Amino acid sequence: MKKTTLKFFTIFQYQQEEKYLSSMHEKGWKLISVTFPGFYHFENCEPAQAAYRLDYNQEGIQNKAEYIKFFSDCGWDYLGDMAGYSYFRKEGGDRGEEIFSDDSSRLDMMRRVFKGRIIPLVILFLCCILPNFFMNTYGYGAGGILQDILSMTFMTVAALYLVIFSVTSYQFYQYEKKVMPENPGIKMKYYGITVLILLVIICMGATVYFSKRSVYSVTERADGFMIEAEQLNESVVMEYDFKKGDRIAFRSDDYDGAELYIRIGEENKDPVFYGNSYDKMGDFTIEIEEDGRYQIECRGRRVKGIIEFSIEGKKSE
Amino acid sequence: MNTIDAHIKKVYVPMTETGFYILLCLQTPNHGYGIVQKVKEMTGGEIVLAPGTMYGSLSKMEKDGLIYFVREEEKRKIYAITELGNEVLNMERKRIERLYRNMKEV
Repeated sequence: MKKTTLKFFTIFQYQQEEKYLSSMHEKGWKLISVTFPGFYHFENCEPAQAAYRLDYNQEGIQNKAEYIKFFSDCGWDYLGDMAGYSYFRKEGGDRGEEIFSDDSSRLDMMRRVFKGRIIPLVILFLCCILPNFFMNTYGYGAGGILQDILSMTFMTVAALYLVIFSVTSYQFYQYEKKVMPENPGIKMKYYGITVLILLVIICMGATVYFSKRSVYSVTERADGFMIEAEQLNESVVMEYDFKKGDRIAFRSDDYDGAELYIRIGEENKDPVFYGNSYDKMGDFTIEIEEDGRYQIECRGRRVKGIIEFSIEGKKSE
Repeated sequence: MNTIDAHIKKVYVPMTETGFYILLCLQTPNHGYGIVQKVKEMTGGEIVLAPGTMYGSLSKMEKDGLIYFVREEEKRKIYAITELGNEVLNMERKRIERLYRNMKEV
């Protein structure tokens, strides 16, 4: 009889993983193989004591035949690899039987895990996740709702990475402290890592805060209105009664913006004008063809500069 | 003595038990499991070197130039000690001798 279980262990929970496999063996299930991302394939066996151990050694995986031979000479059966870890079993061996006989070699293994699994994540984080987060939150990205979604997505992924880094660093710290309690450099190293992680969080928070902030003023004049924006991130709506033949002129100055959306029209009716610009919006003039109460809406995303609407012809009053 | 060698000597002395037995045994070329058996014999079965520790130490010592790869025989890599390895082993020997002497005197 066979069975497969799906279980997840973090990269530094290999000892829990070993205990799990031993307890399965004691219940009469011996491990046959493991497959990514966490499938354990078992086969029925006589309930017995067996030691399961994990090694992480990429050099061993590269010289597999020789690596497995050495372990099997020492009485350990090789069961397979998953994500860089190699699985070994000694049948009849009690739970205390180890493939590492001292703390320094166990720490060496954890360093190999760190190099093989954490460094690639750090590189991905610094070269892809973080730049994408900044670009989509505070830069000129895809624009519109898509950019908001991307910004949120990258923020979530970045947060997840930061959690992984924090947990991993903490586990590593605990271990190094235990193995080398005399070394004062260890504390400094982890202070450094903590400060770095906090710095990234502060930068990300500041980026979100500054990208969402709105600083602007609206000046109403007899013939229209003017928005002076240091950063416009919301909607400005002005209402006017227009008569047929009125002309509305849009003009902008000293302008810089990620996205500007303008809509002119009566409420609940098709607009007489709408436009969306990711760069500078060109000046334009439109003429009203029907009397009515119109709304002029300006919605910005990090728009900076002066935006003016002047109403020519018959005045709105 | 160049600075790289000085650094290596500092890292390896004092040595782990596994490291010491590897260098001691590799004065005659041998493979990993051969070392395990020899140490078991020498210590009357009291010390059984663990394969994970051994494998890591052997590749680290090879990289650091303390031992070198001689040839492969039946999927077993045979190593031997280098001159640098011998120097490191002698430093460790002296350290242990001093320990032993002082232990007897006090």
